[in-house]
Amino acid sequence: MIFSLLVQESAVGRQSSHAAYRFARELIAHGHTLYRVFFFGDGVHNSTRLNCAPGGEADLPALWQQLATEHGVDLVSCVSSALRRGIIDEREAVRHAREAASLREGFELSGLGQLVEACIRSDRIVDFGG
Amino acid sequence: MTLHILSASPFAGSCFEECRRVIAADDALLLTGDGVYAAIGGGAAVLQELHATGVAIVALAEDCAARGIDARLPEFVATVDYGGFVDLAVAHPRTVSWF
Amino acid sequence: MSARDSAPRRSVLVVCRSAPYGRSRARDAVDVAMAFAAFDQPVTLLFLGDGVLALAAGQRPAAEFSRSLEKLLGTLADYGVEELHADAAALAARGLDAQALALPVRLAGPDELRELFAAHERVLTV
Repeated sequence: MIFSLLVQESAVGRQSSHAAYRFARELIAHGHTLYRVFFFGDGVHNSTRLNCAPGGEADLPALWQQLATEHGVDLVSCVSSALRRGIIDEREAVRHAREAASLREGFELSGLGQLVEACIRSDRIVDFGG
Repeated sequence: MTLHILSASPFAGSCFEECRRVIAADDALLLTGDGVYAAIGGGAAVLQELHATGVAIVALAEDCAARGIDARLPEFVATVDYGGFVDLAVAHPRTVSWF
Repeated sequence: MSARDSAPRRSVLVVCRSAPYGRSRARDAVDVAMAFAAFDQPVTLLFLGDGVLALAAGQRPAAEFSRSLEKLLGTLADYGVEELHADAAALAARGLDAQALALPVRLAGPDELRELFAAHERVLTV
């Protein structure tokens, strides 16, 4: 079965994106396909490359990146959610004259159309808000 | 057939009550995160009513253990790991998240 | 026939449970519904619980800090989001009758709510 996930909260201070990651790992281990993880609202904080996870804490942005590298999962952060929150790629950094990009490698910025497409293409979409 | 996923404490807001109003007899209710607190106190009686109508009540085991309530779960609440969570999502064409 | 004509369609129910302005979730829910409509997917927007407060008429947010959600709701039909439903009990509990709403919505009782959930292939709560 093909799955996509919607992640709506930051990995810091909330459990839901950790649950999303665990679910993602488990569905792949069960032989299913994870097509896309769409990060929306505060969920885009999962795509930062500037976080500094203390020892003993899960570094979720790094874990998502590793997941994408290992299994070719499409990681998309909603561009309008991301820009507002300072999650920007090189192109947006130049466009908005910011000193640096903050989007972690393995993620891309795109619009809500990617969420729509994930809903169309996937057999199951699981919403990890809250 | 819908899998309802409750991940907020029933004491913190209204999502448990709203979920309860739309859940149907052939649906399943999975308690995750703070949602596992629905299995204790006043929530247990509500879950028992739902269970009596045919709703499968399931809780994520590690979230119950983390919160120290795993020994207090009513007997009609089944527990699963993340593998079981995946199986529930596969078995139900639709998932609805309550948070 | 365009690519869009032949694209698969999956019905989606977008659920808004949050009051406006205190958090951005109500606005986000509307944006998500509009995105589905833009891609020609059958979409229904449901206001549940505190989400019904997003429908209150007479919203006057301070211009510099907030964009009016009421104005955005007014454009829903233009963007192809025509199926709007609200939890009747939630409206009543919050003292909102039909006259107090910014736009017409279908009021849903418990049976209609259950039918709405069952009738859509996808449900996304924002």
